[in-house]
Amino acid sequence: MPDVSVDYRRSGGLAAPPSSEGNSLADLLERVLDKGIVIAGDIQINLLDIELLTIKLRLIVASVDKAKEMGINWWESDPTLNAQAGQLAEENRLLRERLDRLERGLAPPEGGMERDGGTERAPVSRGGAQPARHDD
Amino acid sequence: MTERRTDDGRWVYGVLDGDVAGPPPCRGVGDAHEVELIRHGDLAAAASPVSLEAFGERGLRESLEDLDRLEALARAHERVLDEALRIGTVVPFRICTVYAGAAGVREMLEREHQPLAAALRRLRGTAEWGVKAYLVGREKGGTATAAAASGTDYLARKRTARDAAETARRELEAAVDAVHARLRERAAGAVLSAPQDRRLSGREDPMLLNAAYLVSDADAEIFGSVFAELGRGLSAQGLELELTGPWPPYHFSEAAAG
Repeated sequence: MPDVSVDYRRSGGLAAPPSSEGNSLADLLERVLDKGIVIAGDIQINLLDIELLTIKLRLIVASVDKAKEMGINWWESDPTLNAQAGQLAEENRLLRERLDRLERGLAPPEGGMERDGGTERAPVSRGGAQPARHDD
Repeated sequence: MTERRTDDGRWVYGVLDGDVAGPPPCRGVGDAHEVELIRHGDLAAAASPVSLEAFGERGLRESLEDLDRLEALARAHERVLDEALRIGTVVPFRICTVYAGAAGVREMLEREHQPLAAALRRLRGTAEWGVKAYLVGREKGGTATAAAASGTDYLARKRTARDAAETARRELEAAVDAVHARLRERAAGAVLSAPQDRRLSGREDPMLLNAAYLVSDADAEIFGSVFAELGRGLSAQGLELELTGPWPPYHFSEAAAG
């Protein structure tokens, strides 16, 4: 490089304004999640099973136009990007919970809004993940 | 699947040459933030002790569903590999490669010796550089403001505008292809990725090129000069180039890459 003492990432690249976090999160995730040698670990975790990652990875691996081509329209149902869809997801969750309780013939538990390991995200997950199966 | 309450797990960042003097001097993942070298034969894994409760399958799942925690893990992973790159050659591992203990890491080094040793040989004396091209300062939409005299006139103008847009698009494509071709000449490897989505890149300007180059230390200076020269030449066309690096060679860790 013309000046080896310059770390371009810390200055956000030659052209880009400096970022307080050093390199951009997009650049970082693109590399650590999608690149790097894949060696089997003792702990088996499929990154594509992680809902957040499938969402973000889609951002990384597919531009919006490409995603639309593939029939991926998660941004229309992602509650963080679409408040209305978020309400629908919440409504969906409550209805599913009621249905579960009715089916089991159980009394409603106190604190029905309790978060218990992310199951409330399931409706969004299904809505968002399904179209990805069409990318054959 | 075991979920033991110990710090016996090991998160592996990457693999270095076995004769490296010491571990990358920085904070890692996990509570202790300690980074250690686990040596086996001519290889050394840069690793951190982690609890298998937080870094077991369930714990990792929970962490990865939280963008703040994911970002913290990603930045710690990158920080260690970045330091590793300063002290030697490193084969970066994908995030979340976790072993049940130091013995598990040694078993992995034994089992994967051939591809890891080959990658170290291939990557010695190189680093990865990222180059992106953005389209900047392009006016939005057409500029036909005068009222059309007739329907035929209107259609003709629309056709002209469409042809002009198509020509401009082809010129930009050719310019970006030329950038890639020139940089590739100075690189030992090149990988093109899809342009990043604007919500991830945080930039409104459309990204037209998202490339990674594996550049030898000997060629780094000339690569930088070519980049700077290309950048100057493209500003008139409304293209802006961005260079990031040196990165650990993430895009070139697998034998097929480049």
